[in-house]
Amino acid sequence: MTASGSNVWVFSERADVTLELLGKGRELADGLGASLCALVLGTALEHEADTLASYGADKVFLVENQALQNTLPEPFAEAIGKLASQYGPQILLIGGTRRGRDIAARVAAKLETGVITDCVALGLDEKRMLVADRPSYGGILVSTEICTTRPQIATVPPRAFEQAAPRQGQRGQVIRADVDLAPPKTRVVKIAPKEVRGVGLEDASVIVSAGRGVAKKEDLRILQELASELGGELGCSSPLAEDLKWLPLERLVGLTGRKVKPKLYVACGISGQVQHITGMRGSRTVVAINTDPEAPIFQQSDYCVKGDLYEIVPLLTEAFRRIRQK
Amino acid sequence: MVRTIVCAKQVYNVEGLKVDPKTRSLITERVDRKISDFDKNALEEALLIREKHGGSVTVVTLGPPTASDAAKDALKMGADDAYVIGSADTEQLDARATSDMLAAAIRRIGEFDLVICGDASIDMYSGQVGPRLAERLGIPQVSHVKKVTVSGSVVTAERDLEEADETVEAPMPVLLTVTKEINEPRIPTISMIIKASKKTVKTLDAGEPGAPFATSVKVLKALAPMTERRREAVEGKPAEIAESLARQLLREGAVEG
Repeated sequence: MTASGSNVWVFSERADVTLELLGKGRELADGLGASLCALVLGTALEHEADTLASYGADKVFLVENQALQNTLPEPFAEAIGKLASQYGPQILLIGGTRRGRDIAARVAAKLETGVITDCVALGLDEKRMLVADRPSYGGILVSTEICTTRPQIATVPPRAFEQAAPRQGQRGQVIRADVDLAPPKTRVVKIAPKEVRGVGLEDASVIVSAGRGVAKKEDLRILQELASELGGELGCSSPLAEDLKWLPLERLVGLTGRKVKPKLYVACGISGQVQHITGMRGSRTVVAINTDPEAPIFQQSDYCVKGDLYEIVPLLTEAFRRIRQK
Repeated sequence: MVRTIVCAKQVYNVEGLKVDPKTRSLITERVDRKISDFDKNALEEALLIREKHGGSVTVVTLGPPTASDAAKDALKMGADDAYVIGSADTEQLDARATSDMLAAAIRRIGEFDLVICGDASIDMYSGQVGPRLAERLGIPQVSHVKKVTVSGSVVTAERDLEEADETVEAPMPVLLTVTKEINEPRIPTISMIIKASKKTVKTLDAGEPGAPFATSVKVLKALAPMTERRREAVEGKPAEIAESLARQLLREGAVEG
């Protein structure tokens, strides 16, 4: 075993996510005074390995093997596990896609260590061990966790961190690594790419959301008009999507629905239980409109309108239209 | 004949949880516990496979004495057997210890063709136990499955991935993790409940006495996140409120002008 001490390794089967991991990995590696290594696994990926070498990776391990043709968890975990046993990294960051989380789990089982999943913040403690924050109980809590065995593995969801920038004048070294891999027992017979949908709630810059304060399904029109005026989307709290089924589940914001981060979130007639707050906490500015002055939503809002949405919302739509026309 | 093992976790009903605003911690008193949602889908799928191909459905759950309620619920839905693996404090178990305990227990239960787990538990949502268990049992896994067909000793499964639906063929024994789209779990009828009342929940020790299963991940703290909001009251007549709010939101760039 090559004693390489405290290296930071990153892996994702997605090139864009690998760059995000390199950005965060650089910070951790600098904090440890360690080197940063990227893993590139698959077939015909020399070009990708070269790219990563110019985006901050000190070393890029390139493994090309027919067993890695499809991104199946067994051969990927076997390759990463064997390299990690050989080189002994301290930290291994894996892109938290569905495929990546599977791979992380199997690598951890092989190496008898643990994985902190869905990390939204990563740092080093006073002993220079990796400590990470992750949501638990559907985002109601943020849990600060440490993995006490090495390598400390963490999965990082896509788009959690900025991509690394190219490093001027510095190039990492690409190292071809030969790893014996068993042929996978599973076989991919079909891959049907999903249709890309229009702007989803996660990407909306404005969301106007409806709660139980909306009396009838038809009245959602009032909120839709405000959303349309602002180029935004209509959202809702769980009773409207799950019980009354006035809106499809893809418009549900909260614990059992989407986690959104618009520039503006307008909560109309939403009481503001923690299950809903969990979904909209990332919003930059929050406006709440509610007739109940005690509604908990007001504790979580920047602008509190204690009034009737049926009066306020149409006037607000009109005000925006008038002011913006000038 | 397909011998299926289903792993089920008992969790708090997260929709009933509240947060204490002072301590920022979870209030769990009077919150009921249940089988984690996707684990119920796992059990339902095992029952559907048994109806079609014959065989057996064995449910394994891990935990304190309250976990036997989850095992009983599984029997009511139609499982042939249900085991509780004794563990004093499941809150302290991470995915490593959990999957190692499950693997040890499953080996003691006997031979199997399929293991089905939920994609992730609704409380921790780490999705690690299924794949780790497959690794420990030395079998392949197919995760995020939304459709399964069994034909002879081959399982064909459709996986729900972010960018694509991927169809995979795997030889048995194999471990599947399933999503909630795969089926609608049955609700036990009175006659199913009566039938289940004649069965008993079995208990099983996973490890050797005095040799605890190793853990890796420790929770240092878990608190409700606090977002500081301005909480500014906007007051006046409705038209005044609308006017000043619209102007303020445009001024601060929350809405593009």
